[in-house]
Amino acid sequence: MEITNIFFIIFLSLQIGLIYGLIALGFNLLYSSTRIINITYGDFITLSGYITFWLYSLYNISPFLSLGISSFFLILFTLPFFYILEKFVLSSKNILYIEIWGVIITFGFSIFLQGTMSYLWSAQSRSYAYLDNVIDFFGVSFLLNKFLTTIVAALLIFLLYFLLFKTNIGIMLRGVIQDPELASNLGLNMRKIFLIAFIISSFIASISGVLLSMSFEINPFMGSIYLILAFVIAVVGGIGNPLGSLISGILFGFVDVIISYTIGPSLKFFIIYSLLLLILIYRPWGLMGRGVRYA
Amino acid sequence: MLEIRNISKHFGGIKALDNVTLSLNQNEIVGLIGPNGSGKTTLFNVICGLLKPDKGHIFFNGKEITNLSPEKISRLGISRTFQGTRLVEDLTVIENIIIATLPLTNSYDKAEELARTVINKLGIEKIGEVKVTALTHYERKIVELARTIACKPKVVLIDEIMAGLSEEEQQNIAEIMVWMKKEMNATIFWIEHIIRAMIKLVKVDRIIALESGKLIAEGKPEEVITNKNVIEAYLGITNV
Ligand SMILES: Nc1ncnc2c1ncn2[C@@H]1O[C@H](COP(=O)(O)OP(=O)(O)OP(=O)(O)O)[C@@H](O)[C@H]1O
Ligand SMILES: [Mg+2]
Repeated sequence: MEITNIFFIIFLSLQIGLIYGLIALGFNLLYSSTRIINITYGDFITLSGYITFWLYSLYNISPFLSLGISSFFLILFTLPFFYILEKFVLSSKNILYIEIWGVIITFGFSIFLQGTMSYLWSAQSRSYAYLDNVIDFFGVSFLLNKFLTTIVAALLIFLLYFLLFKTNIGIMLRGVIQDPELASNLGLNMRKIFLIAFIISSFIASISGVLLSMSFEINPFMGSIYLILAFVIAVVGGIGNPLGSLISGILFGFVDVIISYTIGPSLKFFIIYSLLLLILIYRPWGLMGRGVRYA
Repeated sequence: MLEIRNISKHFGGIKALDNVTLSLNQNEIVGLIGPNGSGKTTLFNVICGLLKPDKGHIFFNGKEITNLSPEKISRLGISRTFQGTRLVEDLTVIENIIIATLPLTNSYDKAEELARTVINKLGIEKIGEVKVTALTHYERKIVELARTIACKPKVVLIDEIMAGLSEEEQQNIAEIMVWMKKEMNATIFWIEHIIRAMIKLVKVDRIIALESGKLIAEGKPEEVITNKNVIEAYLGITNV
């Protein structure tokens, strides 16, 4: 293989891998702090993709502006969503109850959102062309939009790193993730921290939705695929381990691209899920998981 | 200031607490003793809101706190340590204390300032930036104590702090506890198996003894440890 081809594959893997990592991180943060398995998570990504698509197609608004606009709307949407879950699910002390009812309620939301989106915008796949000129980077040709999405994803990762590891919100979140019982015993306002986890998670979903729409087709049902990917990657990286999600996301990016280029894309999911199965058999807590305390 | 009235708690068939009534007065150190499984830790869990009692009431300064959440109870000024220490393993020493001071201040700078004052006071500022996974057993105990002190509590519940420590380390911890009583005006409720440390090092004001979830003795330290029921409860488990 030529050296430029190798660069190209590394670049493509990183481009999708960073987004996979982000998606998994948002799912992981929410689950490990609140114990809500948010089935609607993937549909937040879809919704954000559609917001970006329509703003660009109808009003010629740049997807980079949509990063802000879409996040704003999704966080707005998250507030009542959080309120309902808090009232009916999070108020319980029983983790099994939270997990089961969290799935049931967010599954309902997911069906509702997918139905509404396909009713409003039809089930057809859509895409748009924005900054799709080819740029040359050390002899390797990239689409400019793919290059820029990678940079935005990397910036978001830095932002999240700072938030999680350098701020009081991060200290509290990590405390709640590792030992919720201890955190409540220390007087931490659990409701506030849960709300913050929901907002961060939705923010990540909306940024990811914008970035995905810039280089891939979108359709009303794609959320389910991204949800499963987020889940799988988060489990492999370790529930409660933010860095694990990122590394595992990049790993999946490479597997994804390399399989697509060698064996062909049709076997991609078969291989990815077989890998998951193997990992879960031998390391049920994930590759980098440390096991979350069940309070 | 802390009143526990007719508290019962069972787990399946086990009666972990059976109609326990006791009270703590302002600024005293009360030892809580009893054989393994007698319900001591369960009583702490009920007081701080981790477990709901089946029956009974708890009052703190005249206000009923029986069904409040752990976070509310903590904010009222009841703070605890855990049997075998409980720290957030991913964080450094100072972060482990900041996490407890944040709810008091809501400003990172003030929370950090408070945390630094406490670690300076306890002489552990040198390990401030160390991850708690790297600490010795004794250092972990001190960090947990520092975290409790940083919460500026009115009542401190300490669950078995002396186990596995050297004579000198026990002495240091005893000094901190006495300081908490004198300088912070804290009321301390202290579970301990090393009764000598209670009587000789800390000189507790009172001792309460539990057996099989029942309160079997209460009073001056010398009286309780010579009490017939207490001796039998302890000898019973060693089968002498
Ligand atoms: N969460 C729980 N679920 C079921 N049983 C429990 C639980 N917590 C405590 N128990 C049981 O309740 C009884 C009292 O336990 P507790 O931990 O309060 O004892 P203890 O006096 O603190 O003992 P030790 O000195 O060994 O710490 C024991 O029989 C214990 O097995
Ligand atoms: Mg105990």
